[in-house]
Amino acid sequence: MWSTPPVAVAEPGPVAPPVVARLRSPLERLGLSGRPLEIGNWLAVAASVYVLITAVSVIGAGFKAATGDQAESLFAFAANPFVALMIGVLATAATQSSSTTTSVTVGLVAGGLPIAIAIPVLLGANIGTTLTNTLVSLGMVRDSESFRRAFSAATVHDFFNLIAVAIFLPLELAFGLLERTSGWLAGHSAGSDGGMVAAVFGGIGSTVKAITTPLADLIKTVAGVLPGPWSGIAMIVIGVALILLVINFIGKLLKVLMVGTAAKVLHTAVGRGPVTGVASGAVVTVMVQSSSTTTSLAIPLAGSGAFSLRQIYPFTVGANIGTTVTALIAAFGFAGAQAEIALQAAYVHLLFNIFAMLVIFAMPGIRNLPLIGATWMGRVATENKLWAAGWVLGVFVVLPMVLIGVTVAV
Amino acid sequence: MAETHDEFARIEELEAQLAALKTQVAALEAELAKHRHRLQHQQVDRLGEYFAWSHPRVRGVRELTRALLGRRRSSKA
Repeated sequence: MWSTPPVAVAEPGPVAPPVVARLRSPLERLGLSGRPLEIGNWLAVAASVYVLITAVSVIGAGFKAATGDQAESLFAFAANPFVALMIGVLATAATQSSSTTTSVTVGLVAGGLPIAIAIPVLLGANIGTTLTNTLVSLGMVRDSESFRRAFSAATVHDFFNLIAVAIFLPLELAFGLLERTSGWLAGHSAGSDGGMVAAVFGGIGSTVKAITTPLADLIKTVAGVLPGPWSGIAMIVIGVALILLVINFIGKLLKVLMVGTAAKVLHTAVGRGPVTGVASGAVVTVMVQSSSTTTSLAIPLAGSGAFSLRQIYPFTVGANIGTTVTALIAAFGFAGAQAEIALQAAYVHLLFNIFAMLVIFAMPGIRNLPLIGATWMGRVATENKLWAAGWVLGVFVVLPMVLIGVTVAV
Repeated sequence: MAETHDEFARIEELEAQLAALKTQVAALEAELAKHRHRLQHQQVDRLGEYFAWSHPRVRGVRELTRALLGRRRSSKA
């Protein structure tokens, strides 16, 4: 991200003045401050992760209860990979959180959703998550130069993820690349053929499962008052609502807790090469548990002109990898055979982003494609703002809806 | 013979000039990198401020809407 390209430096342009607020923890409302606040923040993060894992296991159980053994036939409408892909895009664009989509998907897979349907949803989540920083970049629209740089920095993430899906979805359909590799990896880390590693994973999984079972059982009991499949549907709804709440809450807490460490990571990365850029993007994203936060953070850095598009690019690639940690954590909500399939779904997201980095970012011929697309998009959107509106609505709303509509109608 | 000697001398002179220019370019690049990195560190120092942006997405949509409406009004006028 941070290597110095041999080009004339652009004078930093003015960043449109944001609405600045002090970084506050939600727990400050309780009157906490100083050390007790910090301890409270960490305890709240731990409690939120606990709720997240529980919610994912509740979704798994709810899905099983709601569908019985009919998941495959009930989800026949999503068997078309393009529909599943667009569901992933729309769900993530609507919730503004790929972690929510991937965690829910992990829960559904553990509950019986076929992995072949889940894989395009996970790929779609990668596209949907790029909407956030694109929307953030629109805040600089008043200053043409800042906007051009910011919009390019935002859309380089869009282009990278679109190209990644364009490469890996056909490969998945033709050869089952992600399904096979993730299945192999899950078998060796959680399955019966995993040896020592599987034993460690299994031990952690069983412990986490034992800790989360009381809350999960409580939710199941509450939802259980409804008749038939409705109790399962209620469990899914409660699980999704809890995940939305806690992921948002964890994000707020981690921003406060990690801002200093994240700044240290970025300071260390300044002046170094693209590999450090990728690593810093991944590390910061793991810290704040949100690729949207990391990539949105890159927008003012790029908009000011301090960081070039070429320097921001590896940072966003790293963010893609860092965000996969949430689904991996969520997979610990299950034990036994369910744990293996849940872990496989989480590995799909991780492997897809690692493969995308290796094939697109590490290959000289393809590496520049997202940069070319983003530079062009930044230029045309600055010349005519309708392009910016068209891009946001077209890629994230209209195209997914039209594709779903056409596919379902046919 | 004298012409050949002149050519050698000219080449040596140009090589010396080129070396001096390369040193100058390297020094300029180092100076540029120093300033660029200082600017980047300054931006990273504002991380907390950027984290604390309130409703940046809403602001983005609002700003774009304003820009589009403004464009439409000015084209009508």
